[in-house]
Amino acid sequence: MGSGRAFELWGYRGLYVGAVLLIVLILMLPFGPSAGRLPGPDLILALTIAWAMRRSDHLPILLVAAAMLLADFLLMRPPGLMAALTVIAVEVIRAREGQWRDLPLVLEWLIGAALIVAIVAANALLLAVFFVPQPTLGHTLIRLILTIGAYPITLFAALYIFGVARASGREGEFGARP
Amino acid sequence: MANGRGGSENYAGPVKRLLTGLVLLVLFGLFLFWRIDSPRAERLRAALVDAVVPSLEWAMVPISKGADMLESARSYAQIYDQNQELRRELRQMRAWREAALQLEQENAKLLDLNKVRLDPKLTYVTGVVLADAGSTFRQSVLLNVGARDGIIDGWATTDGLGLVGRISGVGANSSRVLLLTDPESRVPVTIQPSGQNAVLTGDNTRLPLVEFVEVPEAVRPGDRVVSSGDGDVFPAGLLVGQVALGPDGRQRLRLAADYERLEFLRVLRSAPPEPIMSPGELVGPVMPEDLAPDLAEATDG
Repeated sequence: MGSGRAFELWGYRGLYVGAVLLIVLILMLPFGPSAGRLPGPDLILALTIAWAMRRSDHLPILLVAAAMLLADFLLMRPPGLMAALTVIAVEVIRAREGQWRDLPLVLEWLIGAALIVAIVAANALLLAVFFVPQPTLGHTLIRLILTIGAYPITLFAALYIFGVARASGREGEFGARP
Repeated sequence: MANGRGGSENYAGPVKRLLTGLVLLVLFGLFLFWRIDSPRAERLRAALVDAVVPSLEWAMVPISKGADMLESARSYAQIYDQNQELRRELRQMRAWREAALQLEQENAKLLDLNKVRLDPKLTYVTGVVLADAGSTFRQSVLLNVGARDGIIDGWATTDGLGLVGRISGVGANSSRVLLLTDPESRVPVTIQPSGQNAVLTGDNTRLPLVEFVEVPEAVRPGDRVVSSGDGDVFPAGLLVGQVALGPDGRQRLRLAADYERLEFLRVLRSAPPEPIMSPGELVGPVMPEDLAPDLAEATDG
């Protein structure tokens, strides 16, 4: 029984990495210039937070760190910063897993939004501290709002496309913390 | 590594905290390293992109081809209008072609009279665009030529007509072109009829800014802008675009390169011009060779 569950777990982990890679790939397709266009939502961040809110056991820390680091490198972002902030957010979710599991959707969305705001704000602050050139405040805010708006979409994608179910809806093996 | 154990409950508290701390330390350390020693970190990035992107080409090609087909299917709708427009343009082009031919002949005659030798070093390597930066905040594309093809950081890239950007980051099989619209792009240019120097500054819009013009009144929308070759950034005289007035009232540049369709790019091989190390020598009668053979060489050349 143990090996079957481990197999399923690693399947979900693989699915997560595959989804991140797919988003990066689609973003990198050469579809003409993006200059002057409005920024799109940060789907990778929204997906990671949504997935972690439902099943943080699918996202071990090293996996999140590696996937986000790869995205940082491929998408020309400062390497390591977004990865570190996302890892912190996922660890925060993991620490409160018992309390946040069975929330209504709106409340879960609010918490996810708060985490995303915290990540984006910390990112902007650290970039400012280290004098790294940043996009304008307006663009960052638009991206932030779109990312928060994309949160339920990525959540439904995780639930119905990737088939991530709440832990309490299954056997509850990962539930009931001491 | 340690995550093979599965669920988070398997870690003892301190070990788990240690792992989290270690991961965060490594990630923040990487960010600091990038901030302190950017060229080395960017080389790391180029190597990683080089390892990942060309191997994913099989997945990217069908998607981008499909999107291209969709795009062209949409353009079938306006094929009649397009045809008419092309005919009109073709007529104009014929007139221009005549003018160009005449000018070319005249130019050839003048060059012959002057014994001018054009720079033979500007040969090029053509590459295919593999991917772009994937972010709305950075403007760059990835080419499928790299160090293996002799590409060197800093070379100019054109689409055959106008300047597109410069090479910034070279892997073995791929290289990144920083477009002129990227917020970090700065290129010294000359504005043609008035001969003024300016700096072309990308700001993540379609029209990069023309900055540091000495007499802005002498610059008019429509003026041709070419690269100036200052600071050995680019060879001089590459067409960049035309001055345009931006919606914010600042002088901007309409790029000559077709940024909507960056498919094949030419990377211009250019050697930096030879530096002038000594002050100029006196131009006078030829010195007897037994006195100063090296000086005679210098004045001849």
